[in-house]
Amino acid sequence: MKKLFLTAVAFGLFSAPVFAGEVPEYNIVIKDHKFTPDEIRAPAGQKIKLVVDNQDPTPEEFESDDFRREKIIAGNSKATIFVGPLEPGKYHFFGEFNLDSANGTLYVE
Amino acid sequence: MFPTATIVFREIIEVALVIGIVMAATVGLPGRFKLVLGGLGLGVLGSVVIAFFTDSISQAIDGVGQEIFNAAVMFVAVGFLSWTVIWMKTHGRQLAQNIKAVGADVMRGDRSVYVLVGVIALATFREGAEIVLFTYGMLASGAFPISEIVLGGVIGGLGGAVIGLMLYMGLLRAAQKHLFTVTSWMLIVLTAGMAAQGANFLIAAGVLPPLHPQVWDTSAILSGGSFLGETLKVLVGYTPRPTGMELVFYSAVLLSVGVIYKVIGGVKKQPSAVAAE
Repeated sequence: MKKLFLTAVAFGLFSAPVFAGEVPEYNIVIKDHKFTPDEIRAPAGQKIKLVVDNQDPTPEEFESDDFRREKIIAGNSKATIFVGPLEPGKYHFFGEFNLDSANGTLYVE
Repeated sequence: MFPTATIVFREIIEVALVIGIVMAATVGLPGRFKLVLGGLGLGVLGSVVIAFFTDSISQAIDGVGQEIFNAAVMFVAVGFLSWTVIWMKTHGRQLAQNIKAVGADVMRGDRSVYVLVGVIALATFREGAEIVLFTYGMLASGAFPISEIVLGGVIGGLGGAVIGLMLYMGLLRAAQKHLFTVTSWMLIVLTAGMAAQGANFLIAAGVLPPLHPQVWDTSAILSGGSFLGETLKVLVGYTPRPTGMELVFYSAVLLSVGVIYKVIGGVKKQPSAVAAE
């Protein structure tokens, strides 16, 4: 456990300068309770920025259990969500208020 | 059929579990029903206010106002819960011994019990605001008749209440003899989980570095979005992919509150010591 913790700290210090760099930005539109695009490809090991534009008149909660973010976005407004850095893999995100239609995937590679 | 029921249930579980443990932890505390109901009322009012100001909160502080706000709610809750646990250790035991009269005397001069109101209100704020916004969205979209939305909300709310009640009754039955110790430790672990969640919001806001992006990944074994995952998230702070910073916050709160709880003396069991209080 101690070793794990030390590794964690070492990793943190090591990866810290990455945050100072440019953050890649991705735009997602919510319209009729659907995401466009509903698939995003992003680089691994780097913090990314999602700009979610809710064009519906109703509020939505942008959420992901996989990359662990949740943010309420009022109707007709935009929100910025910083994600990661993430390990390579497939990350599901969804609109919690419209679980049937608002679904998307973030591919980190 | 009733999308409202699912959402309301999902959101209300957190509040229900917190209330369940707090009620079990405060058995014998006079007026606890009033305190918890007061907290719930305040929480519901707060939810409506927060829901109304969602957009302003979001746009504040360079667009990360919502994350900062959520983190603040979490950390204040961590403070209140820690205080509750420590306060219960020093005052709680005499209440457990059915010396209700003495208990009431102690309580009259001690405003600390109002922290309970804060604990419940804070647990209600965030999820409550989500329910308000979701319901507003449902009503505004006009896709479902109002009766269905209301019925769905009631079903979801009752479902959540049943879960909370089950936890409360279960604790009273299973941990009868060591109710204080068991519920205190449950609250300590729950508090540590809240501190980790608060840290995650600060990471999302860019205020804290993650230290390590993903210390382990148990999402294949237990997803964070499943019912069990969500329940364990509230109870023990379960998260399938914790960052290093969350583990630091979790351990820090677990250790500090845990050590204080262990070290400080409870009220002695002799009636003389109680009278001296």
